[in-house]
Amino acid sequence: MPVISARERIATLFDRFDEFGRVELEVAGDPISFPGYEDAILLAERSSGESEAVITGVGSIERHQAVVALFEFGFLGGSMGEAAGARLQEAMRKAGESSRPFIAITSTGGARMQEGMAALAQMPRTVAASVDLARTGVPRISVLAHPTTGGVYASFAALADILIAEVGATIGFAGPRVAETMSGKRLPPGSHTAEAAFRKGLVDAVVDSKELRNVLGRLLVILEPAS
Amino acid sequence: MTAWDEYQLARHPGRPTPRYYVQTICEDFFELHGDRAGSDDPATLVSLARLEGHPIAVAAFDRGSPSAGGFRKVIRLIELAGRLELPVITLVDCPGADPGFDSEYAGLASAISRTFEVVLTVESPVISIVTGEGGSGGAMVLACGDVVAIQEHAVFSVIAPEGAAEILHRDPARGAEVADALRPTSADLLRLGLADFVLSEPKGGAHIDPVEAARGIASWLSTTLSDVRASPRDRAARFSRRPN
Repeated sequence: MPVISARERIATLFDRFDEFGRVELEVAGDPISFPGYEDAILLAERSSGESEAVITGVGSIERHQAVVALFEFGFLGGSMGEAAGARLQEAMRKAGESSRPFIAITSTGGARMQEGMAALAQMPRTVAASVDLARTGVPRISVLAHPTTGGVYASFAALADILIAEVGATIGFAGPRVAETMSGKRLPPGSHTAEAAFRKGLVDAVVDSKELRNVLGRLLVILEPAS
Repeated sequence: MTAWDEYQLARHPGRPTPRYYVQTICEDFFELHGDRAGSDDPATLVSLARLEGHPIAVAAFDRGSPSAGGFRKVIRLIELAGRLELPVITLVDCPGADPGFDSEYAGLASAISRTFEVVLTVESPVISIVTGEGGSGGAMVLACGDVVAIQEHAVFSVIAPEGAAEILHRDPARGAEVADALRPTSADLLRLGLADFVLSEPKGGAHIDPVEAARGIASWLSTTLSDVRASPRDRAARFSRRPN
């Protein structure tokens, strides 16, 4: 199952994308002085061309706009640390402020180990931002792309009002390998996939990546407030 | 003491459990059971109780890994506490959520995210105490109170040292080597602003003298309950900033 980069997504999904870039709330990150982390960040920046694992901005599909957050799996496995949390919080705030739907497209292994408990703190941080956003009355949409696991899935992503999973994506709180190791049992074939999640009622739809623009565009039209 | 030593104390088989503390500290407690959706997770203890003449609600991960149904039990309890205006006390001794197939497909990720939501938004005051091993997002849902305390020899980490060793060295047996790097001790949690208090334990650890350890928690709770009643706080604010 190939991973689709954030930039490729932006190109195929949106007619226009105005990126927010770095946000004020970001802090210079190495909260627990994890050995080798600073070098790993530099390497991730070079290999992915991104400054963090989350890219935010306003995306347009035809005449409809949404605030969008995309995870770049090529940046340390799309993991969520303080900077990613700050960008997500700020993007959700802007969505509420501008009354635009919020779309998150996740491709992530979860909380970033190298930031320790500071990474885990991004779960309640993004949940709180999502709850504030919900109160403004705009819809929250999560697209769970390959792969989506751990602390991102189990925080703001799963809390969305509409959950869309991509065909063939690995989806689970625990990754399948962890689930097998911890439980000591072989998982049934097809476990931890988008299709299994759909059968069990965990997501609203399974959508092929080629159809995603269409589906998101339709949702934005359906949910547009009547004029 | 190394972080790995702290793990040994936090995981000590004789270490008092959240259930022990609730039984010892409260005048009386009535345990609630079931998520009203087909399960009663044994790793999750939710209870109504009487403490110093006041009604309270208690939600605890009781030395185990809660399944999706466990999180739904917590949601039930906290929504009830909000309606009855009961202060909520949460206790954490939980290496992580139950990652098994059944739990996953009972909606584990959604249940965890909803639990964060109710813990962060309930109108009642929430006081959190980490009493043993805390691990990953499953445990984090009950460590988001207005006030968070951690016992001296309790630990909390984004991932267990064995899991980190598996990722870093492809060898879970090397947990002792990586434990320090994860900064999982009570002092680390305080420094990161994710705990407000470290509760001291009997010399050698809570298992040496559980009664004394319970007394320590009880006296701290007594002061803290009146403090949080007097001044409600922005529960989520601590997660958006880090002390320097």
